[in-house]
Amino acid sequence: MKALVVDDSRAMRRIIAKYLVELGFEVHEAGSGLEALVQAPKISGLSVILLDWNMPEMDGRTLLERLRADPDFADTPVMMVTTESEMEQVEVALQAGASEYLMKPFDRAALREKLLLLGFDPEEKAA
Amino acid sequence: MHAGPDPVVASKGITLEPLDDSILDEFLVDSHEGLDRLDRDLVTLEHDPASGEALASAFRSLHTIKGTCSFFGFRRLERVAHAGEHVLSRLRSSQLALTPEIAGGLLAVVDSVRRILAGIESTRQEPVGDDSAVLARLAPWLPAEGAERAKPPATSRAKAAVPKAAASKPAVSKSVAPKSAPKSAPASPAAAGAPVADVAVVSSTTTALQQQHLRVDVRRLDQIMDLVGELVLARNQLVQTVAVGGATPVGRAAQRLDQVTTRLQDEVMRTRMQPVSALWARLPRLVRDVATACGKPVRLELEGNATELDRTLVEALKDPLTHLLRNAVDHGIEDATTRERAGKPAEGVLRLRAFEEGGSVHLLLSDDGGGMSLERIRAQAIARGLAEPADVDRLTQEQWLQFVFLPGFSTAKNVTNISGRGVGLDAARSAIESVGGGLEVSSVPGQGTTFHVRIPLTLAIIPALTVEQAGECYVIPQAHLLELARLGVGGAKVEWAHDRPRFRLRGELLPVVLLGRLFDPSSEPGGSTGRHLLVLSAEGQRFGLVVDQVRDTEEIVVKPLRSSLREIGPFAGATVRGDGRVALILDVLALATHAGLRRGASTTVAVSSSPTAPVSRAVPLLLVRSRGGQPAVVPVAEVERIVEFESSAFERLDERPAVRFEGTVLPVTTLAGGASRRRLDAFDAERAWPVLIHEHDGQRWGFLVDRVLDIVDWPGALDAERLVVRDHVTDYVSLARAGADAFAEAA
Repeated sequence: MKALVVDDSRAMRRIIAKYLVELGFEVHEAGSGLEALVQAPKISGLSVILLDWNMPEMDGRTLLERLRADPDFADTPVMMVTTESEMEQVEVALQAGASEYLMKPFDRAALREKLLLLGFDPEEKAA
Repeated sequence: MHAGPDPVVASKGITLEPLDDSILDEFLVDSHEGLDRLDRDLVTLEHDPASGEALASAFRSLHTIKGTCSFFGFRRLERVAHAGEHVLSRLRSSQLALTPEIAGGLLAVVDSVRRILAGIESTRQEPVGDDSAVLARLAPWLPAEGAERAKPPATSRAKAAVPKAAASKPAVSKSVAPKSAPKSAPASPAAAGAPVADVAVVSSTTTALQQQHLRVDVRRLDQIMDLVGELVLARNQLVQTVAVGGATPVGRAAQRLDQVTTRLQDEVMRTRMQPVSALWARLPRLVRDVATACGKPVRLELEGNATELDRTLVEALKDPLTHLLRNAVDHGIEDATTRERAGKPAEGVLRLRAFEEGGSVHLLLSDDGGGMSLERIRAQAIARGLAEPADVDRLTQEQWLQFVFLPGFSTAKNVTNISGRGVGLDAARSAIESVGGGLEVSSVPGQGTTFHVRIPLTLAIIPALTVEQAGECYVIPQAHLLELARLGVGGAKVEWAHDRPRFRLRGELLPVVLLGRLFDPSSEPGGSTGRHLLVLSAEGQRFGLVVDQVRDTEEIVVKPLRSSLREIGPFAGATVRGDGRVALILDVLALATHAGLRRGASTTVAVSSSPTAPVSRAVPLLLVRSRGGQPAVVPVAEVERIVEFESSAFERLDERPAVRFEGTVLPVTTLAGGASRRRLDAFDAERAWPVLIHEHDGQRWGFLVDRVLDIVDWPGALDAERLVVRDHVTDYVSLARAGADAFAEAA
């Protein structure tokens, strides 16, 4: 299972990556929407994209639209990582083709639950 | 749960396992960058409230901090950032228009966030504190339940916020998965001012798996750099003794060592460089704050922020630059009414430009204000006994301007909170000089003042051309190189006019320096076959330099020369070449002096141009800063001793200042001459004053100076009253003459 984490905050990427690794994912990181577009085609067997909504240069929404317009990524599960104050954006994201959303802060269990909903089989790491 | 670190209790009542230290470090780095960006964006917004880009960026910065800090359970931070984010989001959706009050409130948020982050950085825990003041400032623009929003919302509330369309998906309603102990989150009082109850607990004992950022002592970097130099030498010895590459294991190992060493050298060098933009991130905010405090609209323009500088220098420039900026806003720029009366736009402009030239980084800070008032400087200098009414005609504008660098000197009409207490410019100059730089000022009445900060690059990388002379390599900063000519080809040759070499370049006769003759005056001009002429420019003037060989261009690491070495010739520094050998960097400005070019301000006499003065006979001069702040040189031969005396040691003898020295009374004057009646005892500061002691016909005289700076070799004749020494217009003073004037007249 391979995941691409797109977020302009390094700390945020590290946090999500840490959980994903613990859940058995191989994690790739992109610091911007543009970098994600560059990276995604190079990751063979990419299973899920976790997406920050607010990013400079290319924001999450634009990235999502670009991904959905690309036949290779039209069906790739995309999870929007958001905060409570962006709830109205969740609707926008879901309409633009996001598969799921995850509200900050979350823990590994919350992430696992969302991944289960998307049909993945994340490992339950023994604590 | 884990047995080790305590769990983090985040907002929404969920419990998170603590994240390791390296992620916290990333968060701190991210957040500081975000705050710097936010400062800039807010300043941009004040000038251009409609800038959607700045609004989006500002929102994003705070949003990211808020979102990420929630993972660490930093509740104060979350609450403050949330309030700021809310106001920014209303600005972004045009529900609010930016007013100075809102901008002030947002900047207060930035300050609070910065303070909390600083606490986290030092203790790894969120500090306890009260944010009610900053939240209250934003309260008018927060929703009615503004204070409520800061409270951790109940899970049901989060559900209620889920949009209907999304709610149809099964996953949505379980947006938050409270794991263990969901009730352990203390429900803090709604009032923002009671933060003590919800201090997050982050264990400081978490094992750091990997530190992403470390503070490293620069001295350690220096040591590493030196060791890398040694490694380069060892590598070269190896490479010369074994056949590199090829079939043998040793050859392959040598090749690998060779490549790795080169990379290592490069990487180590880079660790020390920092763009000046690191210095500039906070300046817009600073200017904005000072301008607001002074009630003047001021715009700051920054240019050249990619210029790189050794990071110790970036650090060293911080305070002086802050000082200069405050000063420029407070004193340089006039208030709006005065400006409008003078036909200027109400908004003052401060321009800060960084560029690299001649192995130095230059910072030019110009304001478009009223310029420095010479009358006020004169009046204060005379009132404080630093100058005499007679000096009004004698001293030039430049010399008068030097007074502003004296300790305690201030021409500010009103001493304000911001500056004008006279503790600024002298401190700024000392700080800059302590890293081998210089600070100069020029001012045009009615048009503004420009401060010129010059700092050596030290370890900076510059492109340079390597040349060879008598088998030795020298490097010339490429910035000065205009063109190359091959002598003896197509009639190109050095001509001699009045015993001085010249080169005809497209009809123009350029002065020429023969590097071989400069280093070895006894050598014959010799044949010009195989020699190369470089056309160089210094301060806008061109001259030629003849060398044996021209080699390649490369990026070099500039290393400073110790001052004793700087005196031996026209060298600006040294560099370690790719082959590990040390090459001296030629100081093009000093070469220009040898070429007899005029240097510095047009009022200055070019001294070395006397054709009879042999280039090789250099006169050692003592470089001092005179009591008036002006640099001056005195022949070393005329100085018997340099002794420091405390202010209290000065007495008066027949209306003349004097000190007791070696059992006698030493009459003291200043270098300015005719200063004997000046009230030398009116010292503003308790400090030690250097006195140059000169002996003449068994009579000793003392000359009080502000500071003794260095010894320089003057290559030319000494027939002018002013010289350009190290880019400064400098008074040349003969102690014998000055003493005779001062003491004879009193006798």
